[in-house]
Formats: sequence, C-alpha cells, structure tokens
Amino acid sequence: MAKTKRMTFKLAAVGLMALSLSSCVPPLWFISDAGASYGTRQKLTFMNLSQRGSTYYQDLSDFIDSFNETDIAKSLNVYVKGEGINFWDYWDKVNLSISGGAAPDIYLQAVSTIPTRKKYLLNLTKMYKADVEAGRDSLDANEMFSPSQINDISRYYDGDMDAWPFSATVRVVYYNKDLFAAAGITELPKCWADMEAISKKLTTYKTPGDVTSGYDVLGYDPFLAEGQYSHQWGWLDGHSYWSTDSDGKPVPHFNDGDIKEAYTYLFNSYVRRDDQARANLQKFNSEFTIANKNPFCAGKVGMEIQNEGLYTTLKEANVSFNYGVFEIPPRYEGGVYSNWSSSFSIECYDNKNREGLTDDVVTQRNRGTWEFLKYLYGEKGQALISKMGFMLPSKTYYSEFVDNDPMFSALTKAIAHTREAEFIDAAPSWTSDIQTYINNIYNLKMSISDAFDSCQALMNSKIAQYYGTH
Amino acid sequence: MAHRSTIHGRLVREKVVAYVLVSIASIFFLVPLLWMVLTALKSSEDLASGVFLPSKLYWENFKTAVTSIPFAQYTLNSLYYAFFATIGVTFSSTLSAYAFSKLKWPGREKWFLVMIGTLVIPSQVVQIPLFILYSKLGWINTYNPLIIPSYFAVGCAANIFLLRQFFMGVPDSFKESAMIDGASEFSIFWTIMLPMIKSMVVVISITAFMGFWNDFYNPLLYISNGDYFPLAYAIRTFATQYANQNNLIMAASLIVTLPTLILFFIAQKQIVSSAVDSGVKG
Repeated sequence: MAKTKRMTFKLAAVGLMALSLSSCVPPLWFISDAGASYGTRQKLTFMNLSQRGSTYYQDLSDFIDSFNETDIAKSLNVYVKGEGINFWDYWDKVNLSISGGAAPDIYLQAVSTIPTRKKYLLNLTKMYKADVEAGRDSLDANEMFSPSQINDISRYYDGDMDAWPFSATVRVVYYNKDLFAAAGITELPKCWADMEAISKKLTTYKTPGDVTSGYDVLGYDPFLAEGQYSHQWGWLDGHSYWSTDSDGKPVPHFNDGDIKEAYTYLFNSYVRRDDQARANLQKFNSEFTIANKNPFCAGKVGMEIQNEGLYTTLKEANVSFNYGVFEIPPRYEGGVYSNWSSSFSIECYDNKNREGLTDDVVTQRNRGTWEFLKYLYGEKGQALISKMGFMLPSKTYYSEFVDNDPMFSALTKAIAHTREAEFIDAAPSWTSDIQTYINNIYNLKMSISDAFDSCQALMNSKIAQYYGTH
Repeated sequence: MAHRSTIHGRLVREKVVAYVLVSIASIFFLVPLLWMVLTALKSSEDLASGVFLPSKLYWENFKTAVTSIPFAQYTLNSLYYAFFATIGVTFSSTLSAYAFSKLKWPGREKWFLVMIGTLVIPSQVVQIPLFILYSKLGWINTYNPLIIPSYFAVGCAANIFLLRQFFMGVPDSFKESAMIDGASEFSIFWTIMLPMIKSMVVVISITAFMGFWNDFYNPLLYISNGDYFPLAYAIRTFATQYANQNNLIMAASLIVTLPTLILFFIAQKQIVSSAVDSGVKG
C-alpha cells in the first residue's frame, strides 16, 4: 500500500514537471490567443499604449482585426497582433525588445530619439517609392505632414522618412476668454511685452489692492505648467543652443549672454517681480498643488502654457468659462514662432535585422507592416486615433475630424511651428538634463547665471566623455 | 519563596517590555496594511476629502477592480506561473542541496563556493544577456523564461544554501543504513532525507510561491502580450488606468495580496519552526 502510494506520488511529481515543461508555450486553455485563428499567416506585432482593460483597447483590437480581414493582409499572408503596454513601462519595453532582438514590427516611440534606432528602421520613403513604381495605392508623407514635422524626422536621413509622426504635440497658450473680456482685452498678444502687459491687467488680489493678500487670479506666469521648459524660451528669442565645430562635434551654447538676459526678463515678469510677488506666486501654486487641481481649469489663471492635453481636461471638467488658444508669441513682434513638440513617432522595424528570415519572408513582413501603417493613416485609422484623443498629425482627414472643432482647429495650426529638440549623440536627453538646473532658478536655489553656467559645464563634460570613448 | 517571587516578577516585567516593544514594532507593519484596507473601502468623496476613516464602507471598489480588467484570466495566469515555477524551484533546489551535502564528488566544495558567489551578482547585470538568449530561443512572450529556469535552479542559490545546511544536519548514518538495505540514491533522497527536512522544504516552496505570485519584474521583461500577463503585472496596468484613484488601486492590490497573506497565515507554524530549526541545526 505504502509502495503504491509512493509510486503514485513519484508519478504525479514527474507528470507535473512534464506538464509544466511541455505546456509553457501558450496557448493554454485559459489564454485567449487572438492570433490562433490566422493559421500559417506571418504574425506582425504592433506594440502600443492601449493595454487590456484600458478605454480604447477594444476599439484598437477591432481596428487591428479589420485590417487582418482586408484583402491585402490576406494576400500578403500576414496578420497583426496588438501588444498594449501601460504608458510607464512601454518605453523601456520597446527599447529592451529592440536591443534584445525581439523587436515589434510596428511601434510608437519618440521623434526626438529616432536617430538612436536608425539602423533598425524601415525606410518609409523607399516603401512609398516602391508603391508608386508598382502602381499601388500609397500615402505621400509630403502631402500628409507639415514641413516642420517632416524636417524633425528627415533631417537625420538625407531627406528620407524612417518614421512618421504618430501624434502631434504642441505647446500653446490657453487663455480664459471671460477674464480677457472682463479686463477689456480685445487683442491677443504678439510678443513677450504684450503678455506682460496683459498679465498685469488680469492679475487680481484676494483683497482688492492689497498685494499681501495673495493672488486671486494669476494673469500669467511664463514658467507655469509647460512653460517651465527653458529650451523653448531660447528658441522664441532666436537663440540656438547647439552649433558644430569644424570636426562636426556639437558645441553647446547654454551660458551665452542672450539666453541669460532673456531668462532674466522672464523671471522678473509681473507676477514675479519682487519678493512679495514671488511669495504670492508660491502660495498660489501650492494651494492648487495641495488640492490637486489645475488653476486654469478652476478659472483662476488668465493665460497658461500647456499642450493639447489640457483641452481634453477642460472638456472632461466641463468648465463654465469660455477659453481659447493662441501660439506662444516670440520675444519681439515679427519674430519666429516656435513651440516644443516632443511628439510620438510610429516606426516600422526592418525585418532584414531579424536572424534566420529568408529574403522572401523579410519582404513579406516589411510589406505587411507598411500596409498596416497605411491602413492606420487611412480614414478608419485616423478616426480611431482622433477618438483616442491624440492630435492627428496627418492633414488628410482634418475636414472630418478636426475642422468641426474650433479648439482642435486652433491647436493644429500650431503644428506648423512645432520643433523637436536637436538630437545630440553625446547628450540625447539634454532638454531634461538641463531642467534640473533650471528648476533651481524657480526654487530660488540658484541664480540664473549660475544655473546656465552649470548647464554649459554639464554639456561640456558629456561631450568630452562621449568623444573620449567613441 | 521571596526569591522565587522576585524571579517571577522579573520574568513578568521582561515579558511586558517584550510585548510592548513588539507591539510598537508591529505598528510599522500594520499601519500600511490598515491604510490599504481603509483606502480600499473609501468612496471617491472620502478619498478627496482626505479623511482617515471612510464615512461609509464602499465595497463597490472591489467590484470595479475585478470587473474592469480580465481578473479571472490574470489570476489563472498567475496561478499557472507561480505553481509550476514553485515546483521547479522546490525540485531543483532540494536536489542541488542534496548533491552539495550528501553526495561526494570532485570539486564539490569549490562549485558550492561558485554557486554561493552568484548571490552577489545583481540580477539586473544578467538581464540583457538573458533576454538575448531567450529571444534567440524564441521564448519571448511565452512563460518559458519565467518557468523553465526554475527547474535548473537559476536564482536559487540562497535556497540551496539553506537546504544544504539542513541536509548536513541529518546524520549520514541514515543514508548508510538505507544503502545497506539496498536503497538507490534517489530513494534515499526522496523517502528518507526529504521528509526529514520537510518543514524547510515547505518554507522554501511557500516563499517561492509568494515570490512568483508577486513577481513584477520578469513578466515586465518577457511578456508583452496582454493575454499572458500575471496579476502582479496586470495590476500595474490597472493602476495606470485608474491613476489618482487610490481607493480602486488599493482594492485591486488587496485582492492580489490576499492569497499570499492567507498562505502565510496557514504556513506560519512551519515558517517559525524552520527558523527555530535553522538556529539549532544550521
């Protein structure tokens, strides 16, 4: 009896082990592997930000399924499988997958870092030209995107597009129309001095006339919200942070006199001009931070620099006041408009980088990926992207999804002046690197001059370190 | 008599001090758990007002947590992963520990040192090479990289070390007697040695299960397909979706934590006894 029990136990142990080893590869009975029904078709993965359970997961899944049912997907013998990852893990996941040899076929990334993935990317300009030569329907990037967006991507590739903009991100000034009307302001500002003057008219105190009572309405603080990023202010003043030396190495310009002077001007704006004003501002900001509320949504800010995301927030909050947007003006009237973009790119992995694929399969997979990309930029795809709240980068369907919304329409106008930060090999994330020092200015821990000198020193050390090892 | 009562009084005083200290220490562990439970039972209004105690117990949060993501499937995924990986860890750790303690083979002590040396290598250091290896094996987006290494004692050095100490505490005479009776090496391991260190094996299994159940890092690295997410990783998705709604996030977290809590309470006797045994034998 005991022997039988022991034997049964041993068999059960071996069985469990065998089961676990043999059944590690899904599909398991409780896993609904969506790709199982596509048989021998090549699986293409689309890594995206709509994870299971998220609001648009089902919409995106349906969209992908609809592509898989198209004649082109069937004739190419491919199908697309969506892989939705939450926003916070997504970026590491994509990078690890690419560098680890398990890259998705199509994925979202940041336009600003495209050069780091250059060798893996499918040349979309060549794919377009191949379509034209073969007489296939295709999409021309030059017709879809603004020159600024094309330049942000193609400047690194001799004019070719190795990625497309997936969404458009713009930084603009949101303004409270009701506060403007109450203050008798009828014209929108055209330069920084206009902003300053309007700020003075809009700012009110809790006890009228008593500056010590604190701000009731803040007219405008240039550094509030998305205005905190210093590189944008330099661009608006015509400053260039980077040049190249005769060897082609980058030369930083973070402590030039003009950028320090421009920042000093902004820092001494109406709501920051003295200790009392700064104390009021700090109190004003902390009140809203503690309450976890956006002061603009609360109707307590006249003008605020924000990206297109605030429009969604304003709609969801169903605010009672009227609002609008205009582009951040340059320092002087007639100057060059500019706003930092930091938008998503959509990239296709060139399958020739995968090991063990025949040329035919590489071609099949690349064509499949390209066709899916075109499908995404078609009417159905753009409708979905618009529904998801992204600002459409392609102008093709503006008449259907943008022009009927005055706010969206105004926001998309700023796309013409968007600008990505320069890609610098030695300091690919220079915009966030310098922000540490710039924040010290806002916190009164560093003088403007010291902060920009520190930025310059940091960039110099990064360049020295990079070129010392490359 | 007076001397006895003095000793008794001192013992009582020592006990009181010990209980007070333990009670104070327990506050640090219980308060976060209590905060978690209370937050999970708060309505959005209570959450916004910042009150410590919910004005009304809001059980709806648990329903939302369970229904807004495919909770049942994620639970099955977690069970599958944790169960089979635990079997792997238990099986490979006990076998390895037995080999390091009761089998005589050339270089045993040196290899043991090498194995112990792996304890000081941070797992992050080998993550990229491992990812490339698993990628070349075609294991990305499968449970293979999560389960199969456990059958080869990957990352089990601490378990092997503990089990080896326990095996060494079992006199060799048991093994010698069994060998005289004609038992095979595996029979000795399985029928004699393993039952003698049962409490430690249970502890290893339970801690391994808890580790796999709560594992976030490995699924994050190797699983991209939402159909295969285990709960610990899926909860991250939930937290992203319901950012700022701590009541819902805590409700979901509580549900995920519950099985390991229950498991711990069921097995706490074994865990304590193994700790005591390790003091005596180790």
